Amino acid sequence: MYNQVNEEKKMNIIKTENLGKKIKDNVIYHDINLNMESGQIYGFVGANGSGKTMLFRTLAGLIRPSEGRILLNGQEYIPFEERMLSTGIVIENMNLYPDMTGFQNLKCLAKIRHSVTESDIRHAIEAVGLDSSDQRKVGKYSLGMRQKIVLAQAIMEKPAFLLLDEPTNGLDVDSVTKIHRVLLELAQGGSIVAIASHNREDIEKVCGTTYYFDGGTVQERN
Amino acid sequence: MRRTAKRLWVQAGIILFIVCFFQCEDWIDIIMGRDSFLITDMAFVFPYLVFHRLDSTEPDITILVNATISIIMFNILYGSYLYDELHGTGIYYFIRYRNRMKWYIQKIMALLRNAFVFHMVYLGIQYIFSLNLTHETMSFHNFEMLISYTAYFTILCIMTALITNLLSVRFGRVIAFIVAYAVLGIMRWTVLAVGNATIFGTDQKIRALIPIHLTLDDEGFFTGDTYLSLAVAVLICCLLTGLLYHVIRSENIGLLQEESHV
Repeated sequence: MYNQVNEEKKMNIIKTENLGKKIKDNVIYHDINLNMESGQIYGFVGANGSGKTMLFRTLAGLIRPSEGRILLNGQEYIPFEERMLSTGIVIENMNLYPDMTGFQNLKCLAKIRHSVTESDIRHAIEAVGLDSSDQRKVGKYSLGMRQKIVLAQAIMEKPAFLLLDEPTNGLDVDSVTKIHRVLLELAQGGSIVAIASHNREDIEKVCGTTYYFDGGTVQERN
Repeated sequence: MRRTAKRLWVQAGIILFIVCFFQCEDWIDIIMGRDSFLITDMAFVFPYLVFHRLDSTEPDITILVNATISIIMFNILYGSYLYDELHGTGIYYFIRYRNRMKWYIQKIMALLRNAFVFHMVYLGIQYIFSLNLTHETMSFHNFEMLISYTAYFTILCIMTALITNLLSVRFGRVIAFIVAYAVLGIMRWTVLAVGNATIFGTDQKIRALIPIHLTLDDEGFFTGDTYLSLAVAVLICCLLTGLLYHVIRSENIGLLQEESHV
């Protein structure tokens, strides 16, 4: 289901050149040089507050880098003006509308791109281990269920670029295995998958390349 | 749609509560024989009752004071509307839009629609109570006035909501609300303390350019300079909308938590 290749996913390369972010006078990260290709899963390991989330938000175009640039297939990507690729994101502590069910939340999001059907939405919800016919509001969900529904919104459109910040937080072992399987399928389908976590073992299970945050910058290990 | 409906129910509930509260006060005062309460205090909530049914001599002030109440109520619901979306659930919406313009237009249209409905309900309920108390029927003239006032209050509300949202996005929710309510408080105090003639000056052209100003003729209709004021208010709203988009376009989204950690 998630390993289908489409035109958008064919051989994309995302590079960053000396990417850096400052807030006021504090350097969050600096000199980040990444090279990410289609069909691969990349891990980002670092302690809490090391800048993983900020880097992911920058890559998603939600915040502006203070220095450096992001390149897509050799061309500069200008955040805020255009999306470079269809992107899915999971950010820590970000919930969906609490007064709607999980399915209703995802349906609202799906209306923006019109690229998925209701059955795709239901499939995404079930792929992460939730019941798509559950009538409970998201506000009544447990922590693990919220994490799962946020993951479902990220994968439902089978995006070409997937950024997951601590995606398995609060999930049981079976659910983690399920999610890893979906991520591997997405990578097989040509998506670039980036996962950030403070848990090294969790990352090394699924990622071909891992970047380690150290002193505000990253070091690559295969 | 479901979210909008829910917000509207909340609004209607607040309005009904306030109206019913003053309704009770009104009856208590009538029973106790203090009729003067109707003209002085009730004017803030029932402008129709006071200056159309009970012949208040200061309709301009009554309407303006009434406007501040409805603006505050609307602002509580929508003053940080865009700010909340920007730093909360909006993150999952932004990631799906090609640019932020489409999202922004949708939010502004929702604000416009909700402000209009809010005032139709707000003024409509007041009017129904007024009719109930005076046993008079609604004329075509009254209906025209209801629509005119709704348009007028809607513009004022949108203007205040835009300013509060702009300040919220730029400086945070607390500062925005303090500034907005301080300005509204000063406006209300000035109108009551200094009086209509002084605050708007003697020069008719300057008076007409003040967006919060309105003047009524003997029939209760807006006069020519009120329409000019409305046009100025619409122009200011357009400028504020453009300015807010400019701020949102370059705003870092969902950064509040990280900023507080730094």
